[in-house]
Formats: sequence, structure tokens, C-alpha cells
Amino acid sequence: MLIEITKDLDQLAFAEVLEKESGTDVKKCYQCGKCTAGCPANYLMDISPSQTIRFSQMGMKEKILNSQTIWNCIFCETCSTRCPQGVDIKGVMDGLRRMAIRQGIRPKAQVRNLEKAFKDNIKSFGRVYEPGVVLDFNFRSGNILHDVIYFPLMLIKRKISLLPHFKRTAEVKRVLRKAFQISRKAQEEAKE
Amino acid sequence: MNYAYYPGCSLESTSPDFNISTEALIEFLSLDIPEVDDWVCCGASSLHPEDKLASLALPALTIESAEKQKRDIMVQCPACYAHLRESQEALTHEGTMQDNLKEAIGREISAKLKIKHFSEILMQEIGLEALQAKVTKPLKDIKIANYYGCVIVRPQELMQYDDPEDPQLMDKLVNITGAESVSWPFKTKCCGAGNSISKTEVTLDMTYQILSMAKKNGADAISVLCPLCHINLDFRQPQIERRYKEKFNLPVFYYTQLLGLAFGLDPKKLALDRLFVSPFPLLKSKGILS
Repeated sequence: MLIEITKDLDQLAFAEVLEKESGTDVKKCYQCGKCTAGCPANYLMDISPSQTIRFSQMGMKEKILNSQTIWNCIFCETCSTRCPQGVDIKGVMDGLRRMAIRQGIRPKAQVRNLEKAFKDNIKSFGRVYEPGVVLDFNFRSGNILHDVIYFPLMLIKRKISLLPHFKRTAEVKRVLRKAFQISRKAQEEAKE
Repeated sequence: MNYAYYPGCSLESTSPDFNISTEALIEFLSLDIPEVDDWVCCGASSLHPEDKLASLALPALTIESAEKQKRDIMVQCPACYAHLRESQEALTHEGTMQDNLKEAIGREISAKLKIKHFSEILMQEIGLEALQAKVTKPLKDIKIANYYGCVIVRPQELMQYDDPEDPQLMDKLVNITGAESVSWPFKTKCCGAGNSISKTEVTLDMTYQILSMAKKNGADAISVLCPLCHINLDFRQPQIERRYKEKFNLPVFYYTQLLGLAFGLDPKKLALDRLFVSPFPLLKSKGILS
């Protein structure tokens, strides 16, 4: 069976956009499979890390951006460290996530909820209060008791602090708002 | 040596045992390492997938605080360490990111200071011999699997900590306590990290493999240098045991606790009573504590 790979110019451009986004050259990959062999999260992926790189070379944008793989990567960087060709596979996963979000593909709820819980916590306190992140994540996910059943034991063991610490919250909020603003502006300029 | 200590949010909110044992060592070794004034969160893992600039801007605020104190930064949490290093890279190299950081923060930060992990400071600036000379209670007959996790060794170009496949730094520190560091293959295998909150079962799968490998290689206990690795291996251990119907009973120490024990410090001062898998049966059976 003959597979037609990259006739579509838009697809060809995808590999280039990805290279810019991730700062690494996916064309260097020769499919040794070391990244897939060492990936602790491979069993959660519908496309393996080495397949993801091959598909990127082929410009198979829709298949990759709609995969479970990019949301299940843990960013442990075992792949990037071991790649004999110096391809930063973790950087590719990170870049693919940002590209997917820009295309309107929503991250898996778990990923989204955790990031949101962390971000709101940083904005509220300036320092993360981790028990608060867990509670916030649970509310967002609708599984209110997850891990909370262990809180009494953690308190008895004095393993978690009772209250958050507030530090420079106004400044942290201002810097974050400004940073998001600058990034948005840069993206819009790049589009034009 | 002129450091200020950046504990980071984990050591303040869910890993006070790491913080307390670190402070105990600082006091015991008479080191002048005060806390960084008004430090803030390093951005944790939540900002970089969405916005690189924001993730670099927060650590820059803490770098600036240390700079004002005219001190270098000492860190314990590997994730904070990585984020500070990354931010420093961006602040010190001319380019768009440097300009954007200046605009986002509203001022320039030179970031010309050293950022080091406490284990590196012990190793490189105090030295094994000097530390060895302070050991009064050798941890005899204990075999330790040193578990480094991901972030402290990867990416190597950024962290410059040790070999990413077979790091030795913690092994050497642990060896001076009189304990024996076992040779085992999962020193830098991922523990599941932040999945601990969002996809707990994934973390349980990964930590199960780490615990069984440590046990099969003869370890009596594990030593770690990361607060998240610790939560996943210690606090989650009973959950792992239930899920896989296998008993491990492997105490998980912070390397600071092992050093403190060998220096003869009071177990309470090292927060050993806050570990979920109690280390006391092991320490008593080896005659280290009575």
C-alpha cells in the first residue's frame, strides 16, 4: 500500500512551525526508538514518542495535535537526555501542547484543572499553598474528597502547614498580567 | 560562602520535614545562610506550558531579592532550582526574552549570582573530609538506594549537577554517614511527579516500580533530595501497597536527615517523626537509636 505523505503545503509548513515553537530540529531523528524505550509514560500514549517525531517529519498535524500523547507526557526529559541525535523530544511535546491550545484544542480536563489551580493559587498568595491546590483541583474536577481524606492524618503528623503565606501578591499579579500581555502581543504580531 | 536559602513553596507547605532537617544541618555546621527576603513562588510546573515569559518572570523576582541581600542562592527543591537557573539564563543573555522580562517586571535584574543546590554546597564548599570528621554516630549496616528523580539531573546542560544516568553526588554524601549506597538502575527514573494530584494512579504505577527495584537491589531505605519524590514514595507508600497487594515498608529519608542522624542530631530536630513510613523500627534494629 502506498501512503501519500506530504503533498499538502500546509502540512509541510507544520514541521517548520513546530521546529520554531520547540527550538529543535525534528528532521535529525533516525528512529532508533530510544525515547520510546525509556519513556515512563509511553503506556499512556496512543502515539509513541518516536512515532510522534516521525509523524512530525511527515507533517501529520491533525493526528498529532489530536493525540492523547501530548497531554500524557510528564516532561521528565529522559527522552531528550538520551536522544543520540540531540532532538529535544520534551521540547517538541511542550511545543505541540501550545500549538494545540492555539488551535482551540482543549487540554484534557485533568491537565487544565491542575494548571488553573496552581495559577490561581500563585496569584492569590504569591507562594503556593499546596493543600489549597489539591482542594481547588478537586472542586474543579468534581471529586471533592480525593486525597482530602488524608488531610487529618497529615495534620496530626504536622506534614502540612495549616495556613497559606501571603507574599507580594499585588506585585506577582501585576508581573504575571504584564507577561501574559507581552506574550499575547508577540503572538498576534507573528500571525500578521 | 555567602548564600541565602530559598526553601520554595513545597518545603513551606507540604514538606516541612525537609525544611526542618535542612535548618538543623545549617545550624549544626554553623553556616551563615539566612532565608531569602520575601521570596515568592518559582511558578511551579503550571506556567511554562502556557506562557514561557510568565514562567521566567516569577523566579526573577526571587533572584532580585537575593541580589539585594548581596548573596548567592541556596536551593533544596530541584524544580525551584531548575526554574531559577532557567530564569537566570534568560536574564543574563541578550535577546528578546531578556527585553521582555525587563518590560514585564518593570526593572532590570542583573542576575549575576551563583545558584546552587544544598547538596552541591556540602560537597564542593565544605567537602567530604570535613563532613566525615563530624560523624559521631555512623549508620552501620544500613543499605540505602539513592533516588535522584528527574529534575536535578535533566536537562544536563542547564542543571550541570551530575551524570544524568548514574549520578554519584548523593551516594557520596550518604556514604560518609557509614551507610552503604546500593548500586541500582532506577536512580533517575521518573516518580510521576505532578501526576500525583491529577492522575494519582499513574504516580502509583511509577512509584511501585521504583520501590520494588530498590527492594530487589537490597535497600533497607531510600534517600531523596526532592520534596515531590518524597511525597510520592513516602506518603503514597501505603496506597501503593494496597494497590499492588505487596508490602514494602521502605522508609524514605531526605539526605539531610541521614546526615543529621550520623552527626548525632536529635531525631525530633530532623523531623523523623513526620515521615509516613516510620524509620524507627529500622533504626532501632540496627542499633542506631535505642
